Amino acid sequence: MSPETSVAVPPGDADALAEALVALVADEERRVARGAAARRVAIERYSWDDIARRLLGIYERVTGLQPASVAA
Amino acid sequence: MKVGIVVPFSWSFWGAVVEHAELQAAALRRLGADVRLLMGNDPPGQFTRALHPRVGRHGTPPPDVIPVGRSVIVPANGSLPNVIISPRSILRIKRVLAEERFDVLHLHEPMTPIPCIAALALWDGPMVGTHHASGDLGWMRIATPVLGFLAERLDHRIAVSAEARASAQRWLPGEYEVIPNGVLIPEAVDAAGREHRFVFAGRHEPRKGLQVLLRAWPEVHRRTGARLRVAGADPTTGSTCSASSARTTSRRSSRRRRPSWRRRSGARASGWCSRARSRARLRSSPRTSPGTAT
Repeated sequence: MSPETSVAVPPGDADALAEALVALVADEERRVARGAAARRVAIERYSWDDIARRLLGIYERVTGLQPASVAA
Repeated sequence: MKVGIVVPFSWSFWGAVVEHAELQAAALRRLGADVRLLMGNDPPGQFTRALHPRVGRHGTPPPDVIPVGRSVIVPANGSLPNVIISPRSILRIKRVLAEERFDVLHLHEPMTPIPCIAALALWDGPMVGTHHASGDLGWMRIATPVLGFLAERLDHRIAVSAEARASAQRWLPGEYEVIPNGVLIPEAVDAAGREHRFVFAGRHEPRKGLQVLLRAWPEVHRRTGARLRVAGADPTTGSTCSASSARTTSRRSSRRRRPSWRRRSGARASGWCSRARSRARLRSSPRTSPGTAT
């Protein structure tokens, strides 16, 4: 979560949440820009292929097996 | 490389960790790893109906899933997971570990009985553990003094978020690498032509902040005329995978004072939730830890 991808309000503050939601509904350009930025972040940081590569790196370290031993 | 992913919950009942493990297995296979999932299984029948009030996945698990026992519902940390506590699962785990000869085991919620605890106690190969839960983790109050030493067997510890890391570290101090839950990303989502609707996605419990959104909603509806759709699991039903929709409206403008709920489960809920998100104008996730409005 960052100002580029979302709008943050203080925890539990329903009035601030309402204001933020109403403002976003009224501002399509800002809303679409944040949606696009959030999609980019999801692809860059949360894609399963990237996570699996990180996990395989960990498995290789803890097993001592080299990447070459991964079945093709 | 042959990887055994151990999940202490049942394949028959969708939940966040089960789904995570299945997507993890699929992603590892795409990179060439040979992966098996060791988890519970509750075949449909009278016994399962008695133990599990909600409808689960019927049928036989796919060949890459190795069933290690039946599950029961155990309230824990704001949800009702289907945990395997049958002592017989210890023998099954022992047999599977001997037969499959894994290079590495990856344990999800490693301190949850019984498959993960059994793997920690019985297997002497490399092990990685992922901690998912955050919050008080009341079970750890009991488990840590008795079984905490087994966590030392883990060669690498992962937490799915900074919150999960802090919760785990409270009971099991040490280094944790944060690797988040992955998300399935649709090929393309059109930002135009969205329905005039907001969507909340998350379990209906205080930490996820639905109550904050519902307090804000009359004002938002009055000023925008938008509708609200709520998607997520209701812990009071024991359903960790159902989705409900609530059509809430302003009290002044509606004859209907209460939201109407529709329940969905399993794959239907998952698909419905994805579609709801890709059609909505805004997603609101007002967690009671630092809150967000989009």
